[in-house]
Amino acid sequence: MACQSGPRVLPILGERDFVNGDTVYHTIPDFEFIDQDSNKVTKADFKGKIYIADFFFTHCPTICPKVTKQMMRLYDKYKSDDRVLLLAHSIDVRNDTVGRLKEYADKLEIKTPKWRLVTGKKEDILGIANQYFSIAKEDSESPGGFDHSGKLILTDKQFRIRAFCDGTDPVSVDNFMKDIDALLLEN
Amino acid sequence: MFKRFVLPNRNTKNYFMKLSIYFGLIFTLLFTSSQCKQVENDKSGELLKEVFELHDSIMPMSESLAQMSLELKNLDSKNDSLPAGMNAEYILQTKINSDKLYDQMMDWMRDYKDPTNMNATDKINYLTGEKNKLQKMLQETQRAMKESKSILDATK
Repeated sequence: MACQSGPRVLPILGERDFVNGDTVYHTIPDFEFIDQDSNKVTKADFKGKIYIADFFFTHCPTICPKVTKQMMRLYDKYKSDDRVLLLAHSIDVRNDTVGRLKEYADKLEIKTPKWRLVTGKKEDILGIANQYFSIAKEDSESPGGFDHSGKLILTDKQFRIRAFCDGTDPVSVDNFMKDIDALLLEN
Repeated sequence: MFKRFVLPNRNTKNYFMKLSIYFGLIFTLLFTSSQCKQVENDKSGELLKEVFELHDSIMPMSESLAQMSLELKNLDSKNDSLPAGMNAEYILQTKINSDKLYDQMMDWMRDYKDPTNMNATDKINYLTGEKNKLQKMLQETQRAMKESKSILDATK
């Protein structure tokens, strides 16, 4: 009898606990930020969606433009697919004001709610970064662990992390797109 | 008459010699100038590469520093396991220093100007200045990371 392969299922990344016989996976906690259109952004805005998260600075001259270019590929590919959203967090809360994010978004010709560029309190942004990258830390080859520059994180409808890639590398993003497609099929 | 046209006289020889010297000088100047420009372009290209390499190595450290600063803020400074010299004041200063260095990196990125349209000399001077700034920032960031890490490790 020939074996049939089903659709690829992405692993659920991050720490897990076992509570009363159930597996409890690492999930992104509640958050509240402001986007480029001055709208409040919370988990409610991503309910029932999968989304790609990254962290950036509008003034970064090297890494971030490369990552933004790859995010643009994702934006263009999934523009008409309502199941997929993009969420970019600015880690430079002092200089990346809402106005500056708006200017940056307009330059890229990107629109909410598809691709939100958000800012907020520094400790909230860093706190949520830690939540996303706690999984990348384990796999990171960089000594000291926190090098998440340029990483893109794929999150499912339950706010669990399912994949990540190097957002500066087009080939890594090509494979990441396959992960996104696999997650869409899974759902 | 034939001799006059075929064989140059002394004045004609001097004229052509001077002309050759002038042209020789002009070509030498043009050649030297283009060589200098090439050297300047190579130098500014090299400096640009160094500036970006420094930026790329500091940026992830800045993010780590910011995370550690958060952890320092949440630290219970009355922790009895803190070694001597690591009192609340020291922890606070380390945190303030880390925040200051993080902001410095953000401000550097904000203020950085694309040197593409600068003339060669200005480009070299500008990039040399930025390289020096980043080298200093790198050393200070590394020191701050070491201090933050030693406090956080001591409290684990």
